[in-house]
Amino acid sequence: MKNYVITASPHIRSKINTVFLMNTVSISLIPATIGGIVIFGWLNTLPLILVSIVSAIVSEAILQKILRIPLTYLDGSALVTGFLLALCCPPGIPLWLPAIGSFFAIFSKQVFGGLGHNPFNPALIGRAFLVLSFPAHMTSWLKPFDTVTTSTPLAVFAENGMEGVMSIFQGSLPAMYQTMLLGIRGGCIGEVFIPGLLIGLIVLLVSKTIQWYIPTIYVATVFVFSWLFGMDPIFSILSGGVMFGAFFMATDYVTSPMLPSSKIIYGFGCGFLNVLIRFFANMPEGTTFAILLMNVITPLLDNRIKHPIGYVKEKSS
Amino acid sequence: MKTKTFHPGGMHVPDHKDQTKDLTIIDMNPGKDLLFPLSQHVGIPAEPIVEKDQQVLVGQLIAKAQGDFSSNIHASVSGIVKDIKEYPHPITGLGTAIHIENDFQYTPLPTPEPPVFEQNNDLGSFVSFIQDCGIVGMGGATFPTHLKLNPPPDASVDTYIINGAECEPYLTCDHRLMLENTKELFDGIQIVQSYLHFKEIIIGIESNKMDAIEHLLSYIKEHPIEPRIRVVPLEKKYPQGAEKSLINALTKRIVPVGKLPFAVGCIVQNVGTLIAISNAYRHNTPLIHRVFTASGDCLKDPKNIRAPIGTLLSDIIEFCGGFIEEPKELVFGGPMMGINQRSQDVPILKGTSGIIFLSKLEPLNESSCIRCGRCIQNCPSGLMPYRFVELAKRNNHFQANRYYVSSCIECGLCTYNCPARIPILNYIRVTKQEIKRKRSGQ
Repeated sequence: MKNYVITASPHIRSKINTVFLMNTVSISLIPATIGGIVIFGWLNTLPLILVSIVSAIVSEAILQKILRIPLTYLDGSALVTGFLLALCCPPGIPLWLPAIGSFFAIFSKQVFGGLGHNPFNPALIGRAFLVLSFPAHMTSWLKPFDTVTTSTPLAVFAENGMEGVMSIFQGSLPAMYQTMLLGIRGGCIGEVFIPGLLIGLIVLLVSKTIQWYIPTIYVATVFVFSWLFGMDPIFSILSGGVMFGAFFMATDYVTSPMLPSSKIIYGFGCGFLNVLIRFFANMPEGTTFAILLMNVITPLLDNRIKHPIGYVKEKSS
Repeated sequence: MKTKTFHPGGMHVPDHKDQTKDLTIIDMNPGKDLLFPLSQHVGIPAEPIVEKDQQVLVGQLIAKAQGDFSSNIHASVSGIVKDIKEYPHPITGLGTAIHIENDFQYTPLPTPEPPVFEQNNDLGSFVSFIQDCGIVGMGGATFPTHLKLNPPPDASVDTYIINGAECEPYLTCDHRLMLENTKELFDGIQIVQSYLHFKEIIIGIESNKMDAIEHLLSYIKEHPIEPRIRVVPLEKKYPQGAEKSLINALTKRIVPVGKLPFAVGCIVQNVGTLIAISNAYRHNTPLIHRVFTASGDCLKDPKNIRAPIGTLLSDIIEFCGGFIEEPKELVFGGPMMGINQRSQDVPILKGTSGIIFLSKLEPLNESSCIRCGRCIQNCPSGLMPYRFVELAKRNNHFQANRYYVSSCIECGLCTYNCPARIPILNYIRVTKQEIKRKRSGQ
């Protein structure tokens, strides 16, 4: 008599695997990317994105080979890292920057044991490395639909306050909001086109790839504290990388907490640190370092015991 | 339509019920050999009271319950006892069973066994009658029914829940029973009600069985039956048929950790169990038949079958026309919680709700946890399943107690959903065993 295979239950599995989830994130980035390409021109953006992605995948393959760990460079995670890093670079920078940035990003993941073990968001480590090592390149911003450089609205704010920002728009609030919303401003490739970012968020939420806690709490916290510190709150959440960071960077599975209550604390912490850096540190933008700092306490936030359903407090006798 | 469901956790798993949900239950005659394992229920195995080469008749008691936490076993065919020894067992792998050779006469006992039940209002004699009939939970857990119908004196039981959720994919036997054996179902409810006097009786059915919901509602309208009975549609969500989940879905009550449903005043029973109670009560038939679904992507003619308990799997496969394609896995029960069979030489038991033939093996290549949190979000017990994997990998099984590993009902959703294909539930099972081993060693 033929013998059949013995496995333990369950005998069926969901179709959603790691590759599927990573690819969903990549797809959700596409609307914002198209916005960035249209605003800054394809020549200043597309080669940069491609170099960043290819560098990330090649770096992952080489590092996995050297470290003799399973070759998973095509599981979509390196692609997401490269893609994310490119989107938080200024358009038009020399192509060797994203290349080494991606390598460093992947390196920061592999030295800790690869996907699932890295304490920091790889793409943000890559960006932090580039910002600290090549500050001149990483703070030269292209003017939309042009090839001359400009400064970001946040840099204007840091120098001249809200009046300085409003003077660009001849004091018209609607004009300022509209311009900021559509991303006709200096900034990173992926962060400027807000409608694209929102579509991406909806894709992630509807496909149940992420939960709502971190992105909404993050943005809401930035909104409230910017208001308290005297910045136009709508301007605050539309500028810089707040939305990009809140939707795609802070929600990274590996480096964010897993329990809903921890996610709320984490989202709040990211938003609060972001505002603090904007107002009190010597850089106009704070998303990168706010999230990286919160990455540090993620293990702490997760180190809790969740009570099961029907938990009854034990009597101390 | 408004549906109820339990919180938190759970999710809808593709149900694959279309293959068999419209097929009427077909009676099947067993083959020449039948096996009656002594352990077909939760609790102590029964003790055989027949001998080798003895003649047995349909409905004859062949193995006697050992104490209260055990159940009787009756012959489902007439014939000769060939042997009493170790045979393949669908759940434990190997177990003592009574082998009966069918004489194809199906001669009933001259006087029914158990004796005709004298109808009275004494719960005690009703409960022992149910035990005599060998009735156990037909949903798959096989908890002896007489224990469920006998609440401890300190429990104030007010709600009777009839489980028609059938949340496991592929299975449609309860669905068909509700449609075809409606009279027996309500009769069973009324019999139990006449002894236990519940304040509320709720039949919970998932909304992928709309025809059953409507059928029961119109039956209630057309027949003079117990007015307390309500039919409640439930959202499609696994594991809604699990006792604690169903109680939460229908009454919002939460069963405390480590307690039975009695603690929140509930008794939960499967529709199949009630039909068995009705048959026993009205016709003095012990539990010797059951209805199950034979389905999966390999079977030529998937069916809902009523067969004598003890029928061998090989005969059932033949009855269903064999395979289109050789299956890789034979599963007893549903694909989420069922148990794989090594061979076709195993019998169906009192608790076998389905036999699923699957052509595809699920991949076993486990990758790193990406901390997506799906196991936490879907856990119906509110646990942190990934923690148990971490602890098990560090050989730190005992720590798992701090994360309430004993609350796991092994529904399998964590493993089903894990994008890294980590068999989380296997780690949990190992952890539970290690804890048990250490406890018994101390």
